[in-house]
Amino acid sequence: MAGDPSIPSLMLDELFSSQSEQFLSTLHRVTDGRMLAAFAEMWKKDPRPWARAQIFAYLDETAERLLSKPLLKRFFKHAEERADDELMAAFLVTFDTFVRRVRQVRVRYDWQSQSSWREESLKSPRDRRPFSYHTRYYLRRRAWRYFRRLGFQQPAKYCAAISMALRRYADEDFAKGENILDSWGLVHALFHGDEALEFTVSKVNVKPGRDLAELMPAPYFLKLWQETAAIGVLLDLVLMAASRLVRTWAMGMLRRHHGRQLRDITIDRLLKFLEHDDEEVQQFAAELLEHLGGLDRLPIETWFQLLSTRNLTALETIAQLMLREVNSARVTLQQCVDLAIAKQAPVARLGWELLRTREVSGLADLPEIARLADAKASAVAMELTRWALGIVGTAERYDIERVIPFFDSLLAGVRGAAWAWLIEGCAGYNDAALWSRLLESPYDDAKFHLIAALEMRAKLPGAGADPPAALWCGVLLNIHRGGRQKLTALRQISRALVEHPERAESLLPVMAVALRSVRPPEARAGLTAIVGALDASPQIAPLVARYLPDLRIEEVIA
Amino acid sequence: MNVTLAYLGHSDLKATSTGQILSLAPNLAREAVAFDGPLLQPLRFREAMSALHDIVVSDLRHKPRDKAGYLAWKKSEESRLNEIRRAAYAVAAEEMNARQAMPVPVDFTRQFERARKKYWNGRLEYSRYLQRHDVETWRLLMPCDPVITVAPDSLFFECFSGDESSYGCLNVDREAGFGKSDSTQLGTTNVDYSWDLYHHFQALRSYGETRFSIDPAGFEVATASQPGYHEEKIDLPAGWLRGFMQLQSAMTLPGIKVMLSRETVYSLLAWLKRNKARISPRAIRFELVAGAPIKIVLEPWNIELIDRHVYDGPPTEPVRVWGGRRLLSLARTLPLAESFDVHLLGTGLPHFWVARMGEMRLTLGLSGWTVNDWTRSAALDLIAPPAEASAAFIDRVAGILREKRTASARAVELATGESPALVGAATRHLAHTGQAIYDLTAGLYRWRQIMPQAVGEAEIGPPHEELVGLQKILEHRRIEIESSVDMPTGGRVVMAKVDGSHAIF
Repeated sequence: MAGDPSIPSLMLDELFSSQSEQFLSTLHRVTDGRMLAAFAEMWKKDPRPWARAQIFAYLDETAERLLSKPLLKRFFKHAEERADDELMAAFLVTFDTFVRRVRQVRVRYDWQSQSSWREESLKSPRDRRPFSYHTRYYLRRRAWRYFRRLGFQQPAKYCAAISMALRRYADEDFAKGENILDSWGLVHALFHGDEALEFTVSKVNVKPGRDLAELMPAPYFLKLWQETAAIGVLLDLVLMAASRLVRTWAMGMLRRHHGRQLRDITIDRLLKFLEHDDEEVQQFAAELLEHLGGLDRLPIETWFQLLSTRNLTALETIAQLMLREVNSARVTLQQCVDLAIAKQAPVARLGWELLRTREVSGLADLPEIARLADAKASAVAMELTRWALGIVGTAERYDIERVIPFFDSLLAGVRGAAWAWLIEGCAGYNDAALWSRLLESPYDDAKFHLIAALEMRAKLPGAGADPPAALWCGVLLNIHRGGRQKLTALRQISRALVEHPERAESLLPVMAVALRSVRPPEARAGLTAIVGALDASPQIAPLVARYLPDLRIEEVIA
Repeated sequence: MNVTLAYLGHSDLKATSTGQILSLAPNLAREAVAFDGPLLQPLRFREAMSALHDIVVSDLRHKPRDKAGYLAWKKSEESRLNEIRRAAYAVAAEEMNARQAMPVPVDFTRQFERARKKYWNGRLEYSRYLQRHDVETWRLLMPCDPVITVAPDSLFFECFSGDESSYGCLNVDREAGFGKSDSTQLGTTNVDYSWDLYHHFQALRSYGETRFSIDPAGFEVATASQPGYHEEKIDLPAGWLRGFMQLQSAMTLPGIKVMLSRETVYSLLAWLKRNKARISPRAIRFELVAGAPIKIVLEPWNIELIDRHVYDGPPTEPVRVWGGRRLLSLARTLPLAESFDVHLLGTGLPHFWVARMGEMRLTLGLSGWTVNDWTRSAALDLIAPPAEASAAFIDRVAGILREKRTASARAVELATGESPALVGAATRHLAHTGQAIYDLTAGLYRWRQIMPQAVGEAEIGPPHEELVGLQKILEHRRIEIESSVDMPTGGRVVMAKVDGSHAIF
């Protein structure tokens, strides 16, 4: 953005003193170097936390805005003089992003061998970032030098200080692989000892024949990182680092150098890891949990918290651990059911495993078991339903209110298992109330089961004296499925016409759908059904003529 | 367009001591609307609402195959070449940076449109991905909260599909569909709608009383800090609202009405479900001969469906309409339907299918094609009777409808004392701006504001370029009528000179 020379220093002072939100945006419009230099002198000494926060906010805008040299120079020197670790950390990150080389491919040709090859190298393009490349290289080195000296002179402070910088790197800073190499401070802090890298005076490159993917954690001051005191810093980095690169590095360091101590990690910290947005961190937490001691003493509520993680792989591990470590007697029936009706398959499977070994005897448990009709994971829906109906569906415990939710479940698996339960001899087989409710089901599979039941039993217990015209209508007018059931339904309508000729007025319009269907099998079956009904009950002929005027009945009869 | 929807709690089906209550949470950012009465036909209501849901979620736009794996491989292959391009881009970017201080380019609007198109294409792709993999999140991108209107004689629910091609309206007579309402407040609002609510609809049964409630409680107490209060800001796609209103405005246009039996519609849907037209033409052709049964021909198979109803309207050439697969949304109404009314405006124009289900009517309005470009005005205005209503007259008609809530065209004509053409133009404008809706079955205009705020020109879009041209011609009076002959079959043939050229109308 072009600068605005018309902004008076008084205006900037006013915005600064009033802690205005427009301060930074106005500051970016000032191009007068002298004015900025004078302003920086005042700003850097301002004791207000807001003024300090504005410096960090200003440095965070590296990617979007062109930072001013007078301000940068004064703030940087000020931070260095005051040994301000936090501000120096921010400068380390900012200066690391000042160099962004680009890959360039050159095609070479050797006239003697008459062959060509491609050479890839990193070039520093001309850009609008502040300072010349030489100055940028220098600033990167100088910022890192501060931390390097800190490591030598005050080793106890080093890990905590450099971690402040490591947390600030964002994924956008490493949008391309080569951006990692350009981050001088970062590469030194994390990968200084890696053999795949070669360091020149101002640049880092990958050695010929090596690859960035080979990078392994090899930090400067490795011994400091190996100390027990560094575990907390590394764990904080896993949790708080904004870039995946730093998180992965911290996890690698913890695995390699602190594996044994990690067994004492607190469950609260693990829970925070499990709530992290990064799936790798969630999986890392599950991995730590696996080796954690005293899992058998962990409260059930904590296990439930652990099971609330979103990562399915981590969830699988946690569920397996809970099954292995927790005595099932500690888990109440209500908790088992809560787990079993969870949406995530690993949790639901855990609930099912805990339930299947459980003895259910009291009547008080039945409402809880009936809740299994709300199962949401298809993976265990059928097993859960079979088990539940085996308890709530026995003759002595049968209650329609506990059974019907299984037939009305949203999961086809639950409904299918419920219909498999409803066979001759089961408690609900002759329950008129149950069958009358089933007739109102909106699900196609339920309608098809009803058609099949009608075929076997001729009359359903709850269907009343009238034939179930609405059911046949629903099946015959289904355009999505049910080809075979439609033919069965047509046979049933034909039989109903013979048995109840007085119902012809309500049944013939249903039959007409099949007869006029564009699908030949339906039309043929419809015609056969009509002819069969007419043959058995000639008295319905006038009604047939009325509802099916396009059918020439006389000829058929003749 | 950004729309704010604020709800207290979620719409839900709750069990009560006497039965269950279907409680819909109204939009608190709009006028207060209330209704609370027992559902007299819960099963029929369930099926009809499910059909409306099918319309909302229908998206029959072409969805390319999921080639994520292949594309990832291709991307890695291309990355090497991209590096070269990036180097060139860096040079170009440098040039662009140098040009930053220059004034705004003349084609800035076009560039903006291009960028916006890119954004919407990306969003559409994301939407498709979510639709396949995460329906709950997808619903946040979908402006599918239905609009519900409590009118003196009926309740109606309106929705518009995600692919901007299907309009649905379920109209339920208050007297026959519901019992006595304990609290009624006429008006229009959005209701909180979710996939869960659709699942709750499936739990509607006739045993035990089911009350239907649009709960007005939130209007009195809701604040942002209230538990359950949630606000959604939806960025409506540019064409969505425009398409919604244009389809409704098309309902007010004169057309041909034919009645189809349930068997014919079943056969039509059953065929379309089983067979996919792989070659053109893919139209549904209505062959209408006065005094003869209505014939529907399904192209390209040329399957003929002869309905038992006889066409008794004016003579017309065959009318072809497209986008038949969208009709599959009507499947769930088949067991309830007594018959279907089809309103045809002409070949390639929107068509409306009304399922008559006793106390309920489901109107499915389909645009001419599944893929529409609603960013430009459709040519619907061109087939409207030529009349232009003044802003003052439109306000007057709006005032009458606002006061009466429901009025026939004749009633508006009597109240205003103006000609049918002028009243038609005014009501069409109101429909086009989302202020009113035309009830095809009852033949009534109903006052219904689609948005809480007035819809401006930005949402309506510019008028069709041909219409603008016509207006210019009329303004400059460059028409010389040479002859005018009444046709024996109705209508009139006018020969005129327009801008010096001969033309026949």
